[in-house]
Amino acid sequence: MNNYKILIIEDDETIAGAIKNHLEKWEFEVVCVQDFKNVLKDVTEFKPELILLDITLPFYNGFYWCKEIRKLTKIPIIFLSSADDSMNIVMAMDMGGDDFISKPFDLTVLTAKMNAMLRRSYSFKGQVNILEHKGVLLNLSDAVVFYHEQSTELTKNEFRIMQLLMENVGEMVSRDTIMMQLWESDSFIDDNTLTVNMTRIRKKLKDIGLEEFILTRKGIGYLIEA
Amino acid sequence: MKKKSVLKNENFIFLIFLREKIITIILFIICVFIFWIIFFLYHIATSVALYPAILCGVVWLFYGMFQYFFYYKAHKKQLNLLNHIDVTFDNLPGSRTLLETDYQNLLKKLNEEKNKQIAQAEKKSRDMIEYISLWAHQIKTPITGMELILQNMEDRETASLKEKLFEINEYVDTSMQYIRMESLNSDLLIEEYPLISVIRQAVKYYSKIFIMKKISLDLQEMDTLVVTDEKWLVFVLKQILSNALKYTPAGKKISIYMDINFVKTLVIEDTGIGISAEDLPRIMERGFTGYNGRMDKKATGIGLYLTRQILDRLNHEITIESVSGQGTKVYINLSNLTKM
Repeated sequence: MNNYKILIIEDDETIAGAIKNHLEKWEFEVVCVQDFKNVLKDVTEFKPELILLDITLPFYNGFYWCKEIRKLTKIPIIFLSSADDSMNIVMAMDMGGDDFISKPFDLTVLTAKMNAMLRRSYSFKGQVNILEHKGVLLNLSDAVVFYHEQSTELTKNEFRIMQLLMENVGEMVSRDTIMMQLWESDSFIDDNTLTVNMTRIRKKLKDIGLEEFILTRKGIGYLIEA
Repeated sequence: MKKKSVLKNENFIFLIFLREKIITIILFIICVFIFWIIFFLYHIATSVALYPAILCGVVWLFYGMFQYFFYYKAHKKQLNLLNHIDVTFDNLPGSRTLLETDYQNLLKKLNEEKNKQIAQAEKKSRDMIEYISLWAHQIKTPITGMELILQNMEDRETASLKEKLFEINEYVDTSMQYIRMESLNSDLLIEEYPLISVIRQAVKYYSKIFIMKKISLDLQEMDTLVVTDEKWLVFVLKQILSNALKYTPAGKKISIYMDINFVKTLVIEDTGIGISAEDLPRIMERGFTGYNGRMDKKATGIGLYLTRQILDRLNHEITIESVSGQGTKVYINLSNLTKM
């Protein structure tokens, strides 16, 4: 659905590999930089639409590369770093970084940030503003669900849950993952509230003629079947 | 009253001076005595000896007064030096005798030696801090690696591993903060921040633990602005939350709100096991773990100690209220009462 091109500039193979692995599940096209003397070559040849950039790198650090990349292009750059003191964050922003995620991080949080940033930077690509599955449309700009000419409006939390499930069609999304996502966007809900929210979403979907769209795996999570 | 004591003190100096010169005085008296005896034995009128003795005595007296004047001045100057000898060594009084020069050289040598040792110790501690900071960054890479591997393994078993890994990361962060404490004053970035955003950062850090332990969070909306250092206040809130989470059983609640009675006071309330009354006064002490800490072998008594140190420097005030078995309320007064 996205096919956005992501360049990972991270010298630790485990981390780079795990991020790549995860992002590919999301159908991103991912390349990890191998030659850290020649990062710009990957940038110009692969033409990524978003860059994940570590700060501590061999030869030159992330700040240096950020400055160099900025001379060529304005694509969004997210810093990944363990050095999360104010100095480094300020430095990262000064060098032209767009966001800063401190290590260790959560992959769902990372993807959420990336998606938000991609949506902001490339809104002209249009299709990303609507998620579609089996005739169900979720409008990401106004949180409205359409199904067979009927529509229903979701609250902030319901919308986030729905979005997460629709982005992971065919895959089980655990309750913990949903909650982590909501917490990340400042909705500090607890277990009971999540259950209430799920019941409300189901009710709203039922009202527009959608039944059994979201399946429950008891005690584990939720799933929209592919 | 004061003048009298000064006078007394000055008499005292004079007595010391006299005592130091006692041999010279005795020698003078012996000399006069010898003259007197010789004159007497040679049958010369002894009164002849009296006249030069008085003249010599006057000369000696002038010389003595003159000496006392310099003695007194030098003494005062050195007393003065005592107050700032640790800052500068430049205005030692000029040495007039070989021995004085020797002493001054000894002092200078000691001073040099001391400075060298201080410089060495400082360098050592700087190197150590630098290394530990480096280490903390280095260790983050394998932690992140493991964390990401665990996240890609959708397995129930990974939950406890993730929890342990989270703890490791937490310890690394605390040690980093401990190291940064050393340079706390130069590191401060005091500005006005919306309190809610500071709290959210701390809360999000522990989102995993809240969710895993199924502890609900009641964070009330607030539009309070605080003059503080964001990073350090986040750290403080993290420490308090960490404790609240550690000692609150699964399924219970933690609330964060502004107190309605006190000015600009944030309350973090948990429904955990509480702190016993006899431990309460001492929990901010370094290394104090108390009953709860002794039950939980991992407690080091560092967290709350750091919290107190940081809050002191941020000019915030912390008070802890607790009922054993019912929960703990931590009050942080964020109005900067004394000037920064």
